[in-house]
Amino acid sequence: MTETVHPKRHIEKVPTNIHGLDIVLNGGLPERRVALLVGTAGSGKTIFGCEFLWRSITEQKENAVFVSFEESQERIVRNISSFGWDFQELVDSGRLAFVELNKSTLAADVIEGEFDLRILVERIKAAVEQIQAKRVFVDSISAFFEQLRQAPVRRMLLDLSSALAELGVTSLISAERYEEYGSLSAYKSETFVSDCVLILRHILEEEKTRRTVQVLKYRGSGHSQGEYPFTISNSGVVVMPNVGMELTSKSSMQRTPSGNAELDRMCGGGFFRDSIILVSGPTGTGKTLLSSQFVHTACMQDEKAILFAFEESREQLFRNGSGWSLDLAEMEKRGFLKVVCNYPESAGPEDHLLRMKQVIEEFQPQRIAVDSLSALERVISVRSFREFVISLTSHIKQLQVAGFFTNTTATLLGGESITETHISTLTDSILLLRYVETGGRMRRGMTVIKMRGSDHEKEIVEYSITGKGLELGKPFRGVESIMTGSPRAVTEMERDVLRKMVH
Amino acid sequence: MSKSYRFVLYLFDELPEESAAYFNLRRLCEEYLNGLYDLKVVDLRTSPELANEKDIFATPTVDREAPEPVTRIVGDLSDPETAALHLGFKTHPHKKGN
Repeated sequence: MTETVHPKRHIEKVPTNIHGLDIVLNGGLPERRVALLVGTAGSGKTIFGCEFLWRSITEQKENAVFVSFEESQERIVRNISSFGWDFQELVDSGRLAFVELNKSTLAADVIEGEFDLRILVERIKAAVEQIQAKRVFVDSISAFFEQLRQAPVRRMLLDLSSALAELGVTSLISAERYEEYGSLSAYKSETFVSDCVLILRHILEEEKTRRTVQVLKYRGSGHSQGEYPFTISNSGVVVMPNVGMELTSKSSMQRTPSGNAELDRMCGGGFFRDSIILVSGPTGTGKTLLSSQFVHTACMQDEKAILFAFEESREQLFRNGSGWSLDLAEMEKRGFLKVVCNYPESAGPEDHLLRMKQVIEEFQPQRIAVDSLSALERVISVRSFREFVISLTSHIKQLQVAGFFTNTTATLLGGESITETHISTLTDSILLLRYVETGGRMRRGMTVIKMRGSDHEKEIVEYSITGKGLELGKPFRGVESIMTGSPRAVTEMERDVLRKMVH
Repeated sequence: MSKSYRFVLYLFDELPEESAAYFNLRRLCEEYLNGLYDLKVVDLRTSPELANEKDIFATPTVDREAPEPVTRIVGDLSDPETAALHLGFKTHPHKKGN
């Protein structure tokens, strides 16, 4: 029996319906083939597999078989029920069947001489045929091979794979690995056998847990490269693919007011209604004021807005707001505003993101403010933070609403933060707030350094914070190097020289 | 039961006469047990339900059901020394037991 291998053979795919995973897999798992799921203990292999089966059965109406080498059917059913997946009901209604290879209570299993695995295949086959299953999850092949020690693992896995392929089922086989990076799994040959290899990782990074999924190979198909973070929520796995989203986001030329007429003028007529705006500056320069104003303005136009606060409590925000003539409490009462306060430390970045997405989904706002992003940066690694920002911005862009992020810089005068360097390319507009020390006085200056798709004011404008909010004054004259943090007075002569150099 | 040793040999789609495991097990039993044993051969092809019940994943598999504890050996018992050891005929290499 020979199969003609055609280089451009079209691979049929089976969607897993696991949130975000099919984007990373460019459609799903290879149909009627074997995919390998590799990961260390606790990396989420069983949950991935269970969700694959659950969604196949309930959403695609395809029956499935669970081949367990580890836990008993009873334990699996019990453990997985916390996700709201009723496997017992699936078994009772003949849509799911278990093949358990773990009941063995024999004192000593010994391998002595030659043997073959046809009976194992036969057992899986019997279960598949009984309920006409189209999906199989084997968990985990390592538990099985461990018992077999010196056995020829590669050959056996080949036998098992080809048997599964012959049954016409789409299978996912999990395998244990003992380290997160380095050698792929306990048995190197496993990866050669499978058409598709997924790696799950579970690493501790700066005291925070980080879970990622990576497609190592996908025979005959393109796939997304790199590691994608995922989280295990109470309704299952949520993978965060950063790709594929940006492409679908359209941009509009419609403007939306910032809440400050002068600032709108500086931006060339307001923010774009589906853009991401970053406001960066040291503490006390009015970032919270600007974000409060941003959401308040939405509400004034009968639009809905969410303010995610990571630094201040609801009471503090409301009190601050009333100090600037912004009645946030009233806006919330009228249902136009939702203020969500969270400690950055209360969850990992993936969980924060997931919760934010859920709130956004429920509330359907036209504007979203996050005050501040840098509060989150403080508690997670640089890489996680970057992924968090990418995921959040692409999500907001996809929704085509306006996002307003603040960033607190570490130094009072000038300077750029890690946050700025990380997210500046992702944002459409950047507003810098700075303290300016001239003539023995601290003043505040603001400038628009980026306004994608529009002209904007290039001057550095002085402003003050009053009971009416933020009041813009005149541009600074005769001072330079404000933004770099060391302003100095410029003489008339110097200015002439500079002007000549520029023009 | 006068015979203290009881074995079940599970095969798949194979006659006992064709099975190396059957041949090796018989020879070991004759050598160590003087024919005082029970041996049952099951072809899982014809009784597949037993594979689930007994949790058998490979063939040949030999279960020593008596004496306790029940012991299982997977494979064709091609090395008589280690096979005798695992079947409990010998308690120590180079020393005949029982």
